[in-house]
Amino acid sequence: MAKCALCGREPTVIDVGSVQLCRDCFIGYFERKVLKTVQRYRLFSEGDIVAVATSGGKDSLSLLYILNKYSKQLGIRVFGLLVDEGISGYREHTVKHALEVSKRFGLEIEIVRFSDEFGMTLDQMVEVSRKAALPYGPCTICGVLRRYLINRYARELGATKVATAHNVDDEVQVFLMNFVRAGVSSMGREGIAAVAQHRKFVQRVKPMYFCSEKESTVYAILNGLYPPFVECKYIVYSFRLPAREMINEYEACRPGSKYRLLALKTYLWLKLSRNIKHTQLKTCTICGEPASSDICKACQILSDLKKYRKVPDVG
Amino acid sequence: MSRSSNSMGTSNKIRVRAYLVRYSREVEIELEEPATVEDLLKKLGVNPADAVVLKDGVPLSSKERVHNGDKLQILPVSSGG
Repeated sequence: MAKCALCGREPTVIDVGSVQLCRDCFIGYFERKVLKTVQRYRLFSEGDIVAVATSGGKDSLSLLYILNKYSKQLGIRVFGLLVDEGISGYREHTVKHALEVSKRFGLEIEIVRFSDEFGMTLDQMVEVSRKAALPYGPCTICGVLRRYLINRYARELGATKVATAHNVDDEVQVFLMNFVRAGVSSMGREGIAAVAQHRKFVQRVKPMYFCSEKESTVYAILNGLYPPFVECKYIVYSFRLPAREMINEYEACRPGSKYRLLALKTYLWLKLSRNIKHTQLKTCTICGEPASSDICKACQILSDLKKYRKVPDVG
Repeated sequence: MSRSSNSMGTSNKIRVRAYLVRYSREVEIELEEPATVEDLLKKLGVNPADAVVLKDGVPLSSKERVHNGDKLQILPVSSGG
């Protein structure tokens, strides 16, 4: 048996760099990393009400659990905000699991559904988009409408910050995707906190920015937060999948690659973000929500879908 | 589960059962003793950056030993979504 690098006990549950840690030392290490990120980057202020964007998956439940556990110490109030897009064979399992976890640990979770808000599930939207040959893949529709609902409901429920469970893996995958797309301006925007100026925009922060997905998986297992293993059926359409596989291959050949990529990403973000004007966002003329042009992306997508199937207006 | 010696009679082989969660499939693997989680993943061709190995629901680091007759779960780290 391997011995824990911090306390010398056995057995060990995870490799952190080139050493192994036992259960208790790993939990302490992981929670300290999240709290240190929150404090060092001043992600929250005293009195903040934090909506944790919760999917019912391991990462977001881990974040909700930790922030709730340390909410008094941080001086914040925390609740989970779960968007049920309506992905059959997937989301119903994670929603059920999230509700069980919330009951077990006394976590507050609010659920918002695509079907209630937009009159269609994501599955139905994907079908309409496909039949009408619209230029929207499942991940585009899902991403845009989820962000729209999270921002709107977080604000309406009184949240002053939205915390997302983006981890090292997510960050370097998006970095690589932006790299391949030559998305320089996106590289300058994808930081640890989203800065945007609009009275209806709730600032987004990433307390797990420096945690790997493997760490959050092990943390979730050790704390009884891990959901039944299910995968979104639309992952095969995502540009993220090849990026994920490529980065994991590099990590296997050259351990530490993910953190080196994160360091490069952060360096470029700091350089590029100076040249990006954080201009005042516009207000969508249809729904009144923050928008980068006269009509927000959510309304653009819903408007196109509506031409082929009746979808109610948002807002 | 059986143990067997190699032709030189100097080392034993062990057999472990590994349940691959992503594929809902169980395989039996033979390893040279002493064997670790790292050896098991290598033999299975599973990327250690994308896997957590569980024994009785508890994660194991790459340096933990696996034993003859162990029943292990190979859980993928990344899940679609």
